[in-house]
Amino acid sequence: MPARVHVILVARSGPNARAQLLHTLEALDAQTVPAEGITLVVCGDASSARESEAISRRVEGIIQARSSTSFADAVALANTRVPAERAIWLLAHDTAPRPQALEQLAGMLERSPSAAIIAPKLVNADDDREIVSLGVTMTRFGRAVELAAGELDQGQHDGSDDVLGSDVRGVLIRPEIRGALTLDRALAGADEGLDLGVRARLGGGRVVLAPHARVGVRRDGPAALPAGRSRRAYVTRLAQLHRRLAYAPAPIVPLHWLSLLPLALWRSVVHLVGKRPEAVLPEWAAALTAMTRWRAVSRSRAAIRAFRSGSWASIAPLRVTRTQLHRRLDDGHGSEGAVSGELRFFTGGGAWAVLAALTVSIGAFASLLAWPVLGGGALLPLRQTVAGLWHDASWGLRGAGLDVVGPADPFAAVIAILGSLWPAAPSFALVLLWLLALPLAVLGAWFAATRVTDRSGLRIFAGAAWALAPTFLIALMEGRPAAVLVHLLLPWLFHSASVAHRSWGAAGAASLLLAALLACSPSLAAPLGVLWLVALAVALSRAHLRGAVRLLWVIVPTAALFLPVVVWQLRHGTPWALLGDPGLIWAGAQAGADAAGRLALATGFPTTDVGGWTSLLGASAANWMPLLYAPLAVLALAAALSPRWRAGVALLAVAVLGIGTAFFVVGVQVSFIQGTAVAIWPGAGLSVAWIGVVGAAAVTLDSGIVAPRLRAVATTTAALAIAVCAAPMLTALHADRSQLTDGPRSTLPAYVAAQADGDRELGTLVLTPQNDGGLAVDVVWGASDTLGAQTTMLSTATSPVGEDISALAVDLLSPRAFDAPADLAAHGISFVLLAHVSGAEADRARTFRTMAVAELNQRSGFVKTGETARGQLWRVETGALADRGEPTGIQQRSAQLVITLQLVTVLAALLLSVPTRASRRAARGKSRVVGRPADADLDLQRTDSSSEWPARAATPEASARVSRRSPATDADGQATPEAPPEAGADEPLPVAGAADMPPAEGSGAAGEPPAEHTTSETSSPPSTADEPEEER
Amino acid sequence: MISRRAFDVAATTARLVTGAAVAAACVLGVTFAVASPWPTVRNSPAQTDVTPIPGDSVLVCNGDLRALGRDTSDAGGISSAGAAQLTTFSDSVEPETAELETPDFERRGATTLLTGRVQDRSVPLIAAVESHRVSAADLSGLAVAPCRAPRLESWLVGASTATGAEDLVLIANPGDVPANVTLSVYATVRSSSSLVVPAKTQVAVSVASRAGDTAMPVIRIEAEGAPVRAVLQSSLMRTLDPAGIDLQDAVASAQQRIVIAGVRLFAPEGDGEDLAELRLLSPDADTEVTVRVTDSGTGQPARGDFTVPLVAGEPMEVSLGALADDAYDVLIEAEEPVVAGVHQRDGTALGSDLSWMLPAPELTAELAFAVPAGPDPQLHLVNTSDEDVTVLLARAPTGESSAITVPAGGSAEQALRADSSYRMAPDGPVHASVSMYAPGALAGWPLWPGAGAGQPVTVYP
Repeated sequence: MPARVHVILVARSGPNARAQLLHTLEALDAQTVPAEGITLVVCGDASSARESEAISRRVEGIIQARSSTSFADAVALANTRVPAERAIWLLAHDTAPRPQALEQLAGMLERSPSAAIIAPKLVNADDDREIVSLGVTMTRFGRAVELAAGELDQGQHDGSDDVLGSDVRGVLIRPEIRGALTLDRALAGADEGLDLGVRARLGGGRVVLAPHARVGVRRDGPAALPAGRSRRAYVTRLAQLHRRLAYAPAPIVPLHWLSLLPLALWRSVVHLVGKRPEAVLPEWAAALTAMTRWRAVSRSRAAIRAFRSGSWASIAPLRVTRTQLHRRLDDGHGSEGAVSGELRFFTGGGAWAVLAALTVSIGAFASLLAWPVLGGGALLPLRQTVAGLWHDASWGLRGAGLDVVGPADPFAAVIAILGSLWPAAPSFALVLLWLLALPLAVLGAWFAATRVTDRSGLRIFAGAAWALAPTFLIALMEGRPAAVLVHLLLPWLFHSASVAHRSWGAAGAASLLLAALLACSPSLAAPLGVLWLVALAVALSRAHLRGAVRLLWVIVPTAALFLPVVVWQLRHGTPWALLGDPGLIWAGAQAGADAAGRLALATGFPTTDVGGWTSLLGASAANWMPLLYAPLAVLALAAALSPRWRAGVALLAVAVLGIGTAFFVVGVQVSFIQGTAVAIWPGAGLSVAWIGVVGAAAVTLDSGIVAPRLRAVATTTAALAIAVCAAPMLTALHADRSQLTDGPRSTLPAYVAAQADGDRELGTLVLTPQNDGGLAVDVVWGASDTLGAQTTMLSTATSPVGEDISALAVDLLSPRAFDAPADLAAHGISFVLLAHVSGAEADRARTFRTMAVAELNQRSGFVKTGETARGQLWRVETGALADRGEPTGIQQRSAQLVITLQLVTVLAALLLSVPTRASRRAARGKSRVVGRPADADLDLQRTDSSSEWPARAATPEASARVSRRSPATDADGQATPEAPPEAGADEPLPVAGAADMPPAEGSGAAGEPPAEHTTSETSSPPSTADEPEEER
Repeated sequence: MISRRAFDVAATTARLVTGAAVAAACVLGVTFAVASPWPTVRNSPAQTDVTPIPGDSVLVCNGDLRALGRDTSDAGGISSAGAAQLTTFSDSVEPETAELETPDFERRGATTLLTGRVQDRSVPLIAAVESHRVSAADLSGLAVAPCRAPRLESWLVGASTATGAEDLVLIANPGDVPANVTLSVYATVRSSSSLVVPAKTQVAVSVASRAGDTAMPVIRIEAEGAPVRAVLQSSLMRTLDPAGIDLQDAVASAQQRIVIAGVRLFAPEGDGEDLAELRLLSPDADTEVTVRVTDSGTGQPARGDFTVPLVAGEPMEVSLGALADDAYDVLIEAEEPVVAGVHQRDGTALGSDLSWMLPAPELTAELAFAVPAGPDPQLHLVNTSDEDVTVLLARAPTGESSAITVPAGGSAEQALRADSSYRMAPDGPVHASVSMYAPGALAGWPLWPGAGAGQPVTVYP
């Protein structure tokens, strides 16, 4: 006699759930074998269910539970009402059994005496052929593995019946054991069925599949996994950890417990590398929850103990093995549709362009090859040790000033990374940077150009134009490391940020690059912030939420790195100072905040000497030299008219933003060097403008100019004009117009440098009489003032920072009699340097200095160590030198907190940006060029091979007309170009280039079926290939 | 089909028109942005004003006028030609006085050292000046020298080794330790020598013995161990007649902008030589100086500006040209620091006198100065700044005062009373000097900032 079956039906309240519930009840009515009774558990308000006649007629009882009740809890509520001799069938409001389901299940239960649980085949409620679940097993480490989920049902699994577990929905539980085998309420919504199966097997029962019993389920039912990725990650991980603690032998449990947090850390890393950042927080939440649920674990263990009769070894044959997993592993290879072709860095000549730039660079910077340390301009030596570099980059006591404790500029971290590349002599890293700057710029811009064009020639043009940017060359020749780094980082930021909405890898890389870029030039926060907001708005307006979240991440590392500095500046009431340039503030020549200065900026030059032309030709002739950029400017402006006008207008907007930034920042004077205000360097803004201009010009050349010959002429003209204009800047070092100098190795006299070798923290008080009669007071620690030790806390200060020793400094130079050496030693200062003001020394400064020399010479305890190139040096003779002040406990703790947070964020971004096989494949699935339909890419790939071919059509319109005349177009409404009428049979046929391409998807504007090539001998390559984005 | 084609054409046209508009907007926008004013942000740098604690104010005077070779048995021997007449000023407490040793010769008067002790962190305002009026067979004329604080570096611009010139460098060490003094002579040939000046002692060094036979020597005096006060006493004999004496002040340091105020120029007699020369020296680098001569009192240019090229380390003299008898200011601008002085004389015949007028430093704070007994003392004020400066002048002890306005870029004159002392308080930077003149009695000296006057120093931490 078939078992008597009682249905426990768990439903949520709400109209949608109610409709599904009715459908399920109807399905139960339609069963070929009826159920003995139905108990309905409503999680939430059950009043409407009670009132509904259609429901109350069919069910024997309705239980109302709280809306937060889990499926396991709900079943437990109903279980007590079911008579003991009945088997229970667990259903939810969304699970509609097919008519024969119960018959099959009950039949299977009858036929299999050893079966404790009978599981149906769960299929998609809307599509009977899609398997949602048919048997679940687990790995050695307890991870649940679906055996057939997502597969198309072709009866391929109908033969198997013995499984470890199943989905909990729709299972039929044998009456004899259902008292002992209840759902584990601690599993929180995942793996209940698997757990049930495992316990049943331990108790000698089996889980048997009934593949012909079909139950249609939906994704959002009360017993289904949560729909949200994070929520699902949490419940599955929590269930896995809970089962691990519940199944493990008792002595091992503490070990497992101890391993939870380290495992969470490791799995977080794996999640980030696997581009699943949304799973990181659930991972930790699950680990912490599992760690604290002692009672639930002991309850689960007790339940297992009570029912268990067999050994754990009985589970083993049903676990999935490593080999099976490998066999099942479908990583989606070949499914991406390979929209982007090869990068063609080597074949397309990109490598040669980089090599050529290296040659030019060695020619332009020949003397640098022999220089160990680069000096001049805003350059300074770096610390002598890597440890010193990183100490400068972390929160704490700053390397300049007296007792200045606070956050490091993010730029110090950039310098630390740079210096660590040559650990033996970090200062040499700057020399290398200078030597490699031009090739690196070409390399970066070449990759950035892959986002704009697929044509190798245009990519090389963009690389050359980027490397020859006047703002870049001037920054190189004037010795502005921050501006050089900005120019080198910007193309990579463009390359990654333009696709940041597409993938986590790009977003991670963009976030790191943005942080590094803003560290070098905080004033770029304005234009980049605007662009970021626009991108975010676009992503949100297209309801591309995941893209918006990725864009949100892009600014997170930047925010983490800048937060301490922001807090510092806001607390000091100087928000504008946040825009101040980092590093050494240098009052070099730069365009002023007047119309003449802005005109120079608008023509691309951050200084007013027209990139050295003034000294070659004189001012009147040199002022016409910016006209050499006219071809580039015209090409850039034409981008707004080109077929890819969206990309063109966006790039023009970038250019205008960059110019606007430069215009604004030349009027922002927040940084000071020895009391002299210095405006922000406008070159960084011009770099942003230049990327817009070069990108827009590339768009025009790529899509606006159709005739290859005309394109070649235009490209060559623009490139040659840029190269000519760059000539005086490239030769500046040889013509002695450059600020670059060989060294000095130290800004302090050699005596101090030798004493403080190896970053010993010797303090030197540097007094510089100023031309206005004032006195600049600096304290330098170690062998030299260094680039990393510079801090905007001091350079942008509007009131004295740290311990103010102005009074002591003036007293030193006055006739006052006091124990000066002891006072200096109390601050840890061992040397006093009386320096010349840089540049021309005026009478007042000179008078002050001679007076100061006289006073210092007369002080006892001051040993004159001689006149040096840097000024007069005295050694302070004293017994005990006080240590430098140490940060207080609170300061140290906040420093640790800040550093940890920053490290975690940066590490997360780094892990996100690590490319994996899957991420690279996903990237290949999208067009490399941004802002162009994916199918258009295929057309452009063949343009290189057809570039010798003179295009028939001079304009896109003309060629479109030609193609539309073809009968194929008329027939199916899709442009399938045939031979243009003009194309004769004697024309060369570059078919090979087109034939080896994958077939075009969706036959776009010029998509040409490969069959055409094989059948038609006269078919010509599509001349329409040049208008990929014909706006229709 | 036709409608679709029309749609394509319309779309393309719209694209071209919009694109052209965008491109034009970019160009116009940037052009407009270049021309229009932009907001500026300007923070002020961190700075503190610190008033240095003053030291005692020390003034070293010169003592007797020396005569060389009066004793026929000892041609190089020095003897006293008369005690100096000392005029002093002190505002609150009488300064302590002491005397320096003069081992070279038997003196008649005293070589006085005045010390104004700091009281309650403020230094007393003291001033002193010495004058000599002699008319002897070998010396005649008026010589005035203010008492000054000792220095580590001094320049004596107007030395001479010409025939009939008897120049002595007087070096006084008021300190408690010996000073090692180096004399560097800038001339066509550069030479240097050194000597030790014992503590509390004044010594005299003959220029001829150090500079040899070089024309126009300029002497730089550097002291180590203790600062010294250096003065050049010069006297001139033309054939057998005395042609003037002078006590020449030291110049503190080389400067790029020099103001020599109150130069007395005299029209040459007949077609004789010009009576005023400007001596210039750029110690370290070749440079070119621009010289402007303006009328003292009105500030009007007295003649066209002229430029003088200078070779590093080589003194150079240029004539200031034939100008009417009057007082003038000489303004000098140079690319590199230079030292300068004007040699002025009222004639070449018997009974004429000579004097060197030296650069007047910038004065910004209150100071005191004394005027000795002498003919027609005049105060010359020069203002090179862009704003008018008002100078309050009060005579001590009567307190009768006057306010003199020196126009921007101009100058002013004020007659002073002989044998008296003044306090002077400018409200902006001025340069000042005092001149005295009667036929056969010519003297002039610049006013220096008060010794130890505590002016706040702006410190940029």
